Amino acid sequence: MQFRVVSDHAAPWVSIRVVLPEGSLADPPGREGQAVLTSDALQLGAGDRRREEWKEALDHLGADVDVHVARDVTIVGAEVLSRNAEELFGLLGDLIHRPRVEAEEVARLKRQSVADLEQMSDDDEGLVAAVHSQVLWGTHPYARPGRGWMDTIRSLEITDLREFHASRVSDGPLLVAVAGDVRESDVKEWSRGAFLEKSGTIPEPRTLPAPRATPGRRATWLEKAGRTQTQLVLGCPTVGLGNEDLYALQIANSVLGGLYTGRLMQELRERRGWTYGVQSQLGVDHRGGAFSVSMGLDAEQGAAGIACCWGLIEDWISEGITPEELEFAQSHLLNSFAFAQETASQRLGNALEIALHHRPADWLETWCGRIRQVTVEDVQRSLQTHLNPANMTLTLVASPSAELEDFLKGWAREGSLRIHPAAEEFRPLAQSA
Amino acid sequence: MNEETIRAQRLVEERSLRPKGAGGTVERHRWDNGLTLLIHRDPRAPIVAYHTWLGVGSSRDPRGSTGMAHFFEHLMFRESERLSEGEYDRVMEKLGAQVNAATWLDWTCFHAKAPRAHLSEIIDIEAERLAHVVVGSTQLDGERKVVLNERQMRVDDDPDGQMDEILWGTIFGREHPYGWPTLGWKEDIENFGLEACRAFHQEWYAPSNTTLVVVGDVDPEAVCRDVDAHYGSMSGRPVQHPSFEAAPSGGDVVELVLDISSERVSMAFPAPRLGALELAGWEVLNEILLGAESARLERSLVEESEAALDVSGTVEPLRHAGIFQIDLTMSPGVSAEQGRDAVFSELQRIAELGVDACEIARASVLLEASGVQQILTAGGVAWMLGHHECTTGDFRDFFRHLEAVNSVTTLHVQQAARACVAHGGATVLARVRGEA
Repeated sequence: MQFRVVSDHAAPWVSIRVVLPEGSLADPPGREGQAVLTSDALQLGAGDRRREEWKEALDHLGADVDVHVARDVTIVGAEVLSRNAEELFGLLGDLIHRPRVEAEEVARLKRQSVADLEQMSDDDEGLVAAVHSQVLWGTHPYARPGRGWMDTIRSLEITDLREFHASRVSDGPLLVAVAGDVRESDVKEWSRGAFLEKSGTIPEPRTLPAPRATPGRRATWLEKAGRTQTQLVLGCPTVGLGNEDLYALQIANSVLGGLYTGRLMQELRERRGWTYGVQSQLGVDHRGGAFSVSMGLDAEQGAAGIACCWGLIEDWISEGITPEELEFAQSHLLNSFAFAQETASQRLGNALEIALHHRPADWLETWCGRIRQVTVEDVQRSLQTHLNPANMTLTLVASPSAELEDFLKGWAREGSLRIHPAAEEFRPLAQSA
Repeated sequence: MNEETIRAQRLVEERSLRPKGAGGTVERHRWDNGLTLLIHRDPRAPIVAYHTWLGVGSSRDPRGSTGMAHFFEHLMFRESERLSEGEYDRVMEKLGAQVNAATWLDWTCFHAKAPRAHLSEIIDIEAERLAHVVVGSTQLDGERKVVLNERQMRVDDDPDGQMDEILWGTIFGREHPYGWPTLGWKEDIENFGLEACRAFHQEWYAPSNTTLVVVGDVDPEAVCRDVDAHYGSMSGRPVQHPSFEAAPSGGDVVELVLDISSERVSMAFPAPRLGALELAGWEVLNEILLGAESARLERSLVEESEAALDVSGTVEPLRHAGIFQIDLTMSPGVSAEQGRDAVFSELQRIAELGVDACEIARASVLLEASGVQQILTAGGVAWMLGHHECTTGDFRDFFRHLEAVNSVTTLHVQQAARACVAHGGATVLARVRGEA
């Protein structure tokens, strides 16, 4: 068991992150949602406490506990008043090693999980993001949703959850990370009292092919009647952590849509007034990442707005950025670096980022220097190497519109536009096949 | 400069909520022109939070111009006499600052977080736009489209937004200053006129209606000098805050049909204003009913009967009144009425029988934890100080409220529940389109 402790006694508060091996990528095909459902089940009673007693015990401490299933690890997160931290470690030990996982509770969890997926359709922004993630990654394992599909959730049995817990969780944590009003010696003592010792270091993540962009432009349109806005996400896979070009891409992203003064916001909101918000981002891990632009667009400007946005993206990839834009983005990023270390919890987050993503130990110390070294030429080369306008995926929720349909047929070209009418049951969330 | 420094009030109470190395005091300074400045030195990180709180929110929107306070929040980012169109954002982002703003019923808050080294530049630019914002037809027409888009996103295409708008209009009445939406009605936004906007600025954007809050690794004396240099010469003028009665009637029920997967319920009950000590009893009631993991309605509706997928509650205290809001998302096939009836049954039970001491103890520690969480960052401290100073006139009400939570008894909780039952609340029932 490894430890990361950031002591900061400024406030009577402790943040805890207990890292367990394996995450949603461990779900076997056809059993998507297994890790998430197991993590939910862990929070429904443990040790001698049934669900009601378990929740009362957490409330009694003023604790907030959440289990987050990432792709490669599961993280039990907890926040608590420091005077109650020791007691909370005991509860977390029960959660990890002695969960009750009872049949009645699991059946209820499954019903709730399916209903939650149905509710997702009510929120256009959340819906478009979830579907885009599936469409974007195509046949890559990243396309399999961690929360599962409705049919895979229904098919999971209590034995699947118990098996997942026994084989992936019950061995104990790989890493215990704690920040706040606490001493390292206390963290180690409490951890050894609560958790089974697991030896070894954080393993390299399971080997998967690097995610790649599917050739061609594809558009997936989820039709909903009566929308006043068109919600969309547009993007493609790109490089992951460890690639030196990421620094240049980060600056490029700031110029396009990572900042309020970026090109997208200035053109689509400030000059045209077609949107309240548009932003671009790079979401990356050690295998690869995704570049994406997301926007809620006045429905009356659907086709024109997407065309305008697309034009800005094409120009950005082909022309790169100006020296003035480079200097501006560098200034912003370097000045705002101070915020990354404001609180003990943020400093702990940085340490976890290094540990879990196998970043170099001096990643933070060298970050500013690497940002400073980026040139206009680096940005242009990186954009043209890692982003290809010919291979892009667009997902949108919008009302029926002949103008929008004509535009998308031209943009995506023959056969690459899929329209899901509102009346049709929405399969991407319902069914894995 | 008239200086009134409150050194006795510490950010720390015996539960030690304060940053230990920070000196622990909040200084309050007032200028002849009415400007208020709060400073709290916190050396934990080389950053500073700089908040500008205006004591005007949507409850001061002129009749027929609902949404004006929010619209003006947007205009403040566009242009001033010295800063060209968009220059404010360019300057701030280049400094690495994170800026945003928010408008609510009683206030408008412009908040920035920046590296401490740039504090002087931030004071300069914030004073400039406060005093010299440009309000012309170019700015109005450009921002009007953006705000209409915001309304589409937050209300027209959002079931929760639609329900909130109707709920507040029902509990207060659409003509009450708390009853119309902060974003404004669409037709009012479309018709904002230049003169009305300028008059709004003239009436409310005055130093005497402004509280600045500076929290971070700063030298308080230097901050005072900088603020004096940039704000001290602004002309003072009195701002009148007429009071209004919040006397909503109860028992109203509104039904609507939405694009949703299952029925929903939103309910609102009158609650105490911000700064009222009895507010603590309502917050404990909320924790016992809805907020805690072990809350009664979470257990009965979500876990045991599975009648609901989600339940939540909020106590929203305002300057003149407050609201206790309850939101339920029912399970597919379960009627909204079933959720509403369950809420009333539980309120009735508490009104008659009270609650257990252990429930109060759990609620108190959860509220204490929430209070600590709110002041973990410089921005969080600035928010709590500014919100209370701007709304009640005294930032110390934040600490008084935390103390009051510790003194809540079952009688206080019963009184809150009885008030809800006696009033009857306002209820919005949302049906599923196609099934209604």
